[in-house]
Amino acid sequence: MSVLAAEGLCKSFGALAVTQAVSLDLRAGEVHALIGPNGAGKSSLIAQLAGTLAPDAGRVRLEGADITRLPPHLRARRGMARTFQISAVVGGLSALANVALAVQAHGPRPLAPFRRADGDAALEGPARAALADVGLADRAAVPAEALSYGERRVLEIACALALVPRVLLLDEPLAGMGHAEGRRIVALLAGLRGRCAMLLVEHDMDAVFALADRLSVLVEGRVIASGPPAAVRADPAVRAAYLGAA
Amino acid sequence: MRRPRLRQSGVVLAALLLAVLALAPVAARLLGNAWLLALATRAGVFAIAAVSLQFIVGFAGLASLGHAAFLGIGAYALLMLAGAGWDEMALSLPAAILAAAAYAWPTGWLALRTRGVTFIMITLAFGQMAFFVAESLAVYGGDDGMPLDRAPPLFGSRLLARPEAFHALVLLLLLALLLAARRLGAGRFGRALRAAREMPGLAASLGFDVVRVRLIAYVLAGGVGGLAGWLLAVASGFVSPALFDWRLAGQLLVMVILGGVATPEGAASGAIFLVLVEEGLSAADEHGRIVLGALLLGAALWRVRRGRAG
Repeated sequence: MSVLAAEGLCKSFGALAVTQAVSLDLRAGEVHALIGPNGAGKSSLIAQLAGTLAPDAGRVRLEGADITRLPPHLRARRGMARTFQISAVVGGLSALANVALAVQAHGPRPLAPFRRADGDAALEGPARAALADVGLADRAAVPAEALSYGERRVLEIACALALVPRVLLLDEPLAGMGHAEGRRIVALLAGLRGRCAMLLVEHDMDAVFALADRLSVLVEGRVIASGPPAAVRADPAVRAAYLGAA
Repeated sequence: MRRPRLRQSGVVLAALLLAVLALAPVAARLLGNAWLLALATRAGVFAIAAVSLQFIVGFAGLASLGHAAFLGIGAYALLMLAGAGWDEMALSLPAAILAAAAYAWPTGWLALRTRGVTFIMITLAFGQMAFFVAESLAVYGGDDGMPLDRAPPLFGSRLLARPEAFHALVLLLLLALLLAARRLGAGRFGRALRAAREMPGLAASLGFDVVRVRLIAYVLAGGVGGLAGWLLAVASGFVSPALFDWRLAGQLLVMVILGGVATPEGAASGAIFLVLVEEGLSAADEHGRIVLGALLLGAALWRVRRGRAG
């Protein structure tokens, strides 16, 4: 059974149909890459999967359950985590506190009023483990705003991992990164393979082909091809619409 | 590295201003001037109101122009209970807090669906609604309001009728509130509130119900606003719809911004400073308000230069 599935999702803004009957599934433990040229509707699709945009028609299922109308925070509680295309961390908090925030959201008593958050072992233990997983252990005390851009993107992945997700949506994790930093993320994601299912939206084709078990190509709001990378790469429609142009 | 020192200096300033208020009864007695004590009590009450508003403005990041409504509801709760002979503090004070929180809940639930200017306008509208309701209450003096017959009894005693005792109560409540607010800011809830303010999309994606987190802050702030209203009614011995006025809400906002929106002690300092300076200047000189205006402008410019965080 697929962990996450989109079934016939449709979304239009006025006359512009950004998502046209898109069906997509994510199997347990796989990396499924979603590629497509700018304006293909990748961000709108991610938003519908994450719950920040309501589809006009169709369903989203998480482990079989219909979550189409569920707000983002309830999707998170059911095992969905995501990273954002534009870096999202709480700048004034340390790297450790950022991950601790995710642990807090995910654990019991997330809004306990008077217990100090700083130094709370119940939060910081798992947070340190997540930071170690992504190789940021030695940067734990640094304010997130003082981290390099690449480190901040890695921190975002650590926050998502701290939710112990079943599904991880990665919205252009390499965006805005230099080559070396990009390779670091690719190595990190490769190391996380199998921990959770990942939907990877990415423009960097080297990264996509290095990581993806399966590949779906989105063009003008439609999935024009889906399958193992080699098959998709050979697909004439894909070559014409997308890869051929690159 | 500047910021921690700034925060420290904020705590020191608030502690100094609290010490000044604590010495007011002595000064009033030595100088034979009861007005000084009344002024200090008033400053303490406004500090409580400002700390409650700072909760919404500073921690939640939402500027409200409807905060006076909570003060008004707290004050009217006391007036109404007093009319029935139930002004006992142990009863009327919790009732004032609960009544204000009860108004904050549904109005906040609606208002918090918006942000920025829309939020300001909606809170203003809810504040004005309460204002007009209070004005229409002919039994309670309509738009003139009504005096309280007496200071509320404290467990049957007449203790609060003594200005020094009431002053001490206000300062103790203010101190307790400041400690609680700081603790809350450093706790799990405070951190969630901060994430909801700075990165709402991220907070939601981690599993925080952003609207609920903000609503809890709003209801807490409303309840403490009700407490301030109860105290203000006792301090002035009078309750009128002016307590609901948006101009009072605006004044509270100025106090919070003047002292620094980021911390509860900053809001308290801003309130104490503004009440003391305003009353002091208007007592000293008829042109006092011009001087006050210049002071406020100077403080605002200084804040802009230092950056919002201070």
